[in-house]
Amino acid sequence: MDKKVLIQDVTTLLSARLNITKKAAEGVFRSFFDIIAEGLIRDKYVRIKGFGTFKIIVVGERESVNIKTGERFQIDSHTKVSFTPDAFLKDLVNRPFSEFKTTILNEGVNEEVLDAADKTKDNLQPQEDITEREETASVSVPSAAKETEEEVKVEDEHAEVSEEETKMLIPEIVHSTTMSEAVSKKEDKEINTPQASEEARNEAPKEVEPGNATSEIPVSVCVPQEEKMEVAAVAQEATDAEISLPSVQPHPRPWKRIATFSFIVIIIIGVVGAILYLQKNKSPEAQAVQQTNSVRRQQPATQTQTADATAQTATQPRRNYTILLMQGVPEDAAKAHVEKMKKEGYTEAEVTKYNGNTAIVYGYYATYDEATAKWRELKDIPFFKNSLPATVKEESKNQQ
Amino acid sequence: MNNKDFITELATRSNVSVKDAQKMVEAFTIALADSMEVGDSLTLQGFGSFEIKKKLERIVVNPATKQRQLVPPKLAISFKPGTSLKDKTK
Repeated sequence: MDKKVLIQDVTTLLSARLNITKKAAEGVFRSFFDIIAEGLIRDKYVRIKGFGTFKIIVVGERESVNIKTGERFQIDSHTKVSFTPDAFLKDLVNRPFSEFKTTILNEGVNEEVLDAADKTKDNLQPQEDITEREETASVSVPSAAKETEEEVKVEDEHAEVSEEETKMLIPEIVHSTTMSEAVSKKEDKEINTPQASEEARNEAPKEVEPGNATSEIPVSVCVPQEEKMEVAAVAQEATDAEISLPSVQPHPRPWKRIATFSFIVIIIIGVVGAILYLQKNKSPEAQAVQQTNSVRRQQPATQTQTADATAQTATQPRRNYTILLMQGVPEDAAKAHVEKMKKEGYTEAEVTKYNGNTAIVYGYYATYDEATAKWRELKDIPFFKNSLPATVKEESKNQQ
Repeated sequence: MNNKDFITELATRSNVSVKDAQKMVEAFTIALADSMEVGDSLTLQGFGSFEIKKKLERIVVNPATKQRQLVPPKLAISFKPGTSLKDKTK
């Protein structure tokens, strides 16, 4: 980025633009500067419209001190060649910064505030660049002094400002993004900073490198226009900047993490639920229920007949209907309850298995209607308060 | 030597018309600006070098109105004469 342009490059450019041979372009080139030199010698002043003005300046005598020995000595008067670019060239070169304008500062904003704001920027992730380091080294006043004297004083105060903010201009877009984001985030509420910082970002990347750094004064990314109005606010929040910035930066990432995490959780819940559901279904009684139900409803009549026949061989006829008093009770409690009922005269009460659960049933009936009829008689009795007529499952299948 | 003289001189030396010379100057200016923008300095052996420098933002006070203003940062061209030129113009 800091390479020196060779004459050949420029002549190539010239010849391309003007459709003349490279040799001719080179010839023009050389005479260009020969004429400037001659003009300077002759008139001490050469003005080229669109380009600029070369002047010879006489620097008068002055006293100076030998740094090592401390002795004073005289610097003679001599001549300097100075060049002042024309407005046209100035604007061309300043394109990246063309949007910035001089703004009026509010009361209360002063150098201290600016310095404070920039000091916090120090703490922000400084990305390293060799040229940056050079700059950092040269930040101190001496570097400021290289500029014109008029700027020196102000430069002193801004030395730190410059140093850090230079980093923004370095063609590391990420970094400049960080910095300008830092500033911009602070002022987001107040102004359309993103626009400004974007400009700075977009235009700065190819920026003149602080590699020219041998000389310069790093430049800060200016907060354009309205932004500066809020510089006070920036400074106040400056301390927050370092805290908030680290969290600001990884902004996009937490969302990703949260999404993945919740996704995993949902999957786990789904799996667990499926397991539970399957467990329920897999119980032997459940299977029996499904099978026997279908069988029963097709042939209730025949079943009742055969049930009677088999009733004597089986412990008890089960392929019928009954009144279900309660289910899902512990066996001991069920048995105790049945005893109680029997004492009261309800001898048909019995403990059995219903849907895999220990249950208390009362009586066995050939048809559903019979069971219902009996139930109606009994339902007002406390024992039968929550009872209902139900279909009895086959005992043999129950025992699977 | 003002602009007109310069252009005329240039035209005669390179055997081109005055108009063409003017165009050449413009082309050169643009070429220079382009390289400046990319961050390269332009060195002309014997003549000098054109560098680009960043100027910081600074607070200025208008002495008349006592108003404080902020001058934004900018890029500027600086010229460093080469030895031959310095010798010539001593």
